[in-house]
Amino acid sequence: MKYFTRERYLAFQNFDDAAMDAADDEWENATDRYEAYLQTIRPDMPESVRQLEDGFYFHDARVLSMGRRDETFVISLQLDVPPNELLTITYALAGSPEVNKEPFADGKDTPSPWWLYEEIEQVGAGDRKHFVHSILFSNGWEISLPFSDVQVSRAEPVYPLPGTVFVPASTPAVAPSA
Amino acid sequence: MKYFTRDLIEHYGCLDDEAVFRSAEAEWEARLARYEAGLKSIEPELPEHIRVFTRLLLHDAIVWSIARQGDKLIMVLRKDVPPKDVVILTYTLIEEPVIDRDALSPDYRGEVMDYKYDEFELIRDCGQRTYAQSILFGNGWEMSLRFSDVQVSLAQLVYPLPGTVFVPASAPAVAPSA
Amino acid sequence: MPSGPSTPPVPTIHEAERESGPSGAVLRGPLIEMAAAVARRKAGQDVVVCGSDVDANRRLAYQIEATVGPATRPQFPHTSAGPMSLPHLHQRNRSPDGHTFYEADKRKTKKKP
Repeated sequence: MKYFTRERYLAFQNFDDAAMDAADDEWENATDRYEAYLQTIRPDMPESVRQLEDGFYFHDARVLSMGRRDETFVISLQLDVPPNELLTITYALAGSPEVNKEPFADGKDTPSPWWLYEEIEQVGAGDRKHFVHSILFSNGWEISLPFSDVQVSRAEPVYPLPGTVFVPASTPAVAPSA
Repeated sequence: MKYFTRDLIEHYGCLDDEAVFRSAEAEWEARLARYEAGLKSIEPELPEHIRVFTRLLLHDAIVWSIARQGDKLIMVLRKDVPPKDVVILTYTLIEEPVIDRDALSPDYRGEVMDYKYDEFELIRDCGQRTYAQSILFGNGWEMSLRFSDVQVSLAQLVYPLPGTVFVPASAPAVAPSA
Repeated sequence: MPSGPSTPPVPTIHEAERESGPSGAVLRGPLIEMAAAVARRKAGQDVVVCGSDVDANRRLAYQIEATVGPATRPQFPHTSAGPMSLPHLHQRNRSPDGHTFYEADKRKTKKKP
């Protein structure tokens, strides 16, 4: 992430007034710069990428799963805004995904992580042009997905029932070594 | 369900009377053999991708979500039989699904929605070939589907981490906001 | 010397893991004691109870799983578990992960290579 970084996000968690004001300003600044950047690449975006970028409000969506099979990466999530649609985002990868699993330094275990912020970046030129979707999650994970194409399918939830939240079940004990 | 009925499941789960249990076990094996013979007999008529679908080992797979969009029903699961892939099933429905939320007595229901048993059927109607599937889930739901096609997408799990199980919380949690 | 009544076979407990792929087979590992079986289950790993007396296998499997936490009733194998799958029990809330399998009359483990 270049704009909505872990550091900027964590700065928001400091409830000291002066620190929060500074974090607020910094965040607004980053948002403006990101918007300005998006304007420069929007004309080049295929429809599918444009849909990914401004067709959904991902913030606070519950992440159900992420998986990879060869050159396809799939994220399944449930949106936070009613009607809490289920989205399946399927990326045709244009390179290796980067997955940073470092949890946030506050050490709090986040049940069933939420999607916090995302950025789209255009990289390469000509035939090598593709996009990178970077996502920051509430458990501190950050992924960057280089992709050449993306499909988003949406559906209304049958299960889980609206309002149901999932939490991790108890952590398994460690087996004594033999 | 025609073979793996509630009565049989509940007799099989009878822990107090071994005679009942043994009788249910024998009946289960007999019905399983008949069901599998039926499945084998229709295999030559199935398109390859449907054959692949019928061979998926989904018993005890954790269901993360089921959702609808138009004539599509999407189910996202994590397999329990190795490899523990993410599975996304996209059915093209020809009828509304029928969901019985009380297909198992409370004593036989679990807290987690996992895929227990299913029955798959080929329906031949005026030269047209469609399919039916009944699925019994561990939370006591039974879902009956009529569909013309199903697409299977498999991916190696990136998230959640192996061994993580999410259970419904007793009270809704609040998603963190910016 | 006249032979006495034969004692019923005693089930044995083993480490287990499932074979990856379409078989659904359970691979039988080293012999373990009850305490080790419970510890293994608490760590989310599989165990299997083996022997020729299915009722004894099932009872022991239930005892193991119920010691870990609230256990399901026996789950019979199905097409969707693979042709070599075994009956099993697991935790009602599926946590910890894993199962206690047990051998039945026509359903046996494979020895882990």
